[in-house]
Amino acid sequence: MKISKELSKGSNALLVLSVLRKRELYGYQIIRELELQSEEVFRMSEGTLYPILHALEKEKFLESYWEEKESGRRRRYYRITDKGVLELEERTKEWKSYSSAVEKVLQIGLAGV
Amino acid sequence: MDNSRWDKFLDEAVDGIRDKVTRAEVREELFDHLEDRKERFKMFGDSDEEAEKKSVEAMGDCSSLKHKLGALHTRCYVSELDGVFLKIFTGFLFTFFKFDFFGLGIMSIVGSILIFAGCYQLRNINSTLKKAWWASLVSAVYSCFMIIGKAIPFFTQLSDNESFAVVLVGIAVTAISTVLLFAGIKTLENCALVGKKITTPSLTGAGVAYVLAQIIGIYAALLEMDEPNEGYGTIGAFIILPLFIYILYVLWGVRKAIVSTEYRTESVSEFDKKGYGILSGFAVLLVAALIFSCLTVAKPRVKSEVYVSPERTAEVEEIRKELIENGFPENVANILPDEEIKKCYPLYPDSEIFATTGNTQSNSESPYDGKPRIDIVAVPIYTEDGEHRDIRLIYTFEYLNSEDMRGYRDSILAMPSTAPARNSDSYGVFYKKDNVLYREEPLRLYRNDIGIVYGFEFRTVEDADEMYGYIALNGIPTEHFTPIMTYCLERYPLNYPYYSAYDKLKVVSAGTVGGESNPQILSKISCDCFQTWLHCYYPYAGTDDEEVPEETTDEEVFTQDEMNEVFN
Repeated sequence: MKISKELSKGSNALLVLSVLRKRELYGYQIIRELELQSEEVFRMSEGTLYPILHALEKEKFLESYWEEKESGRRRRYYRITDKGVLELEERTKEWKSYSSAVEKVLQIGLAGV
Repeated sequence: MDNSRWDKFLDEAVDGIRDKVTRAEVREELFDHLEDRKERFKMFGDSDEEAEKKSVEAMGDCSSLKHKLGALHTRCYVSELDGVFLKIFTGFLFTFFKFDFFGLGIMSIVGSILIFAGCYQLRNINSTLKKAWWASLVSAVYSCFMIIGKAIPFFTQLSDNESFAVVLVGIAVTAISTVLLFAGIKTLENCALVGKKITTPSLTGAGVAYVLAQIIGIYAALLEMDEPNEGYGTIGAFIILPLFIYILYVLWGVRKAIVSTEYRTESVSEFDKKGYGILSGFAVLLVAALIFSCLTVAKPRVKSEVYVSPERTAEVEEIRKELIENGFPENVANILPDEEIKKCYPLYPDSEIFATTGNTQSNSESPYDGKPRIDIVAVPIYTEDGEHRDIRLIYTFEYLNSEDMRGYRDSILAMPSTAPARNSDSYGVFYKKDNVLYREEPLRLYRNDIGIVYGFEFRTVEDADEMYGYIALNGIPTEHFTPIMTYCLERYPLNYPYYSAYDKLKVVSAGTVGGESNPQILSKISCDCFQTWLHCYYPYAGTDDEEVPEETTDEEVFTQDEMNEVFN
């Protein structure tokens, strides 16, 4: 099922933080993880990921480092910071509260039908 | 391996990023992503060309990516912005240190460099902030130049040899830098969001406040120098305080305006709380500092400067030989450690001597390390009005290696630690007038923490022909004291080229022999000089000194014959 852009917009940063909480990943891996964990539901436009990553890094929720590949090229990895973990917890609470409220409203709406 | 097919996409995607390094890094990262994606498409059977094409398509709209990355990397982020303002504001504060370490204006330079660092960071955030950067660069370079040129920067205490032109140049540079600096910060208004203008508090007002504060600071410092302890510095600080709080308020407003339009995780009300917290904390700190400053003014601080001239120290062995030739006890000279042997020269009017500023008490009191030491210290003493009242040359002797001989410091310490009376025979001044010798009690005794007298003040007798002062160091064996004193007093006669009032003070000597009277002591020391154990203080600074009497009573103490016996 394809999720509309508008609906997913507010949760992208939350999802990225959540994926990175488990381990350090580079950009492409993050996309793959999101696809796998959501069973292909979250398929964001790949270019969208990088502004999110950079914004989270600027806010000190993430930090990045470069590692050399076998080919000699470098690859940028991201890891979540302590501040990022706190932010993730906070946003998760907000999200749960929001989604549960949406759920309730939808249930009432459905019952009315 | 680069891929020309992706070049166009990559170049366009990072085109909005102004910083070259960031741009190159983001490009490298996107390229890496495209390569990974390409490999994945190839795994599913796509050709090289097809996989490359699909990889770019998977990235989405290039112009949207360009806009997002561009906006992202030119925004001012909360953490960066805080760092910037912290540096700039601290820099502003530091540039106000008028009386700095060794008169070098170190704090001013640190302040200028902090402002520069803050502005450099601003420039990195947004390359249109060049005005601020250039202004801070000019200011920092000017400060460094003034130090290298051995002139004191515009912010600091003026030295005697500094021309007023230097001050004017300093004020001009401050004004120009400030205008550019605040004009630069003002451009932040445009950098918060691309294409969106925000309104910030009046930065022009803050700039004017800063220049005004600088002028008040310089003026207060000049007044303070002319008339120390009158509280001009404190008054200046009280005027500057609200100006600084206003500057802080404006900078905080700029921050808030920018942050409120940014991607953020805190609400604006949180920023308000922080802002008021910081403003209140800062105000409390400044008020506390000012109160402390007032207390200090109420009780004048000790002004102490010690001058020595180790740069002109001659070869150790040469001095050791010279010491012995001049009657310095050979056994003492031979055990003097090399580092203790210094040949010092009269300090005035020689202007090449260097000055070490510090606590005279600790500097001139040799450590009780059991080693003999010879040192010379000259100390200016100021009156309540800031004029030089007295100047004294100190010969410090320490000879502590032998208990049975009792080193000279030991001997001084052997003096009663209970406050000796001002009229003690151990201290005094003689003056000769119309061939009659008078004795006068010292006006004031100076004692250190443990009650040891290390100096005294005496009334200047304007119409005296000659004056002589003495401190009897009771208990010092004459056979040890006299040769050393004789040597030193002959080598370094007292000289007051600066203060004509003291031209008459030719002989101020000291000596001691248990049980002998002062005339007898004086008769054994026939040199024109003064030795004592002195420090420099603002007179009346302490609370444990004797009251200064209105007048002292002259008393003829020697007959002409006795006097001839002493001085001929």
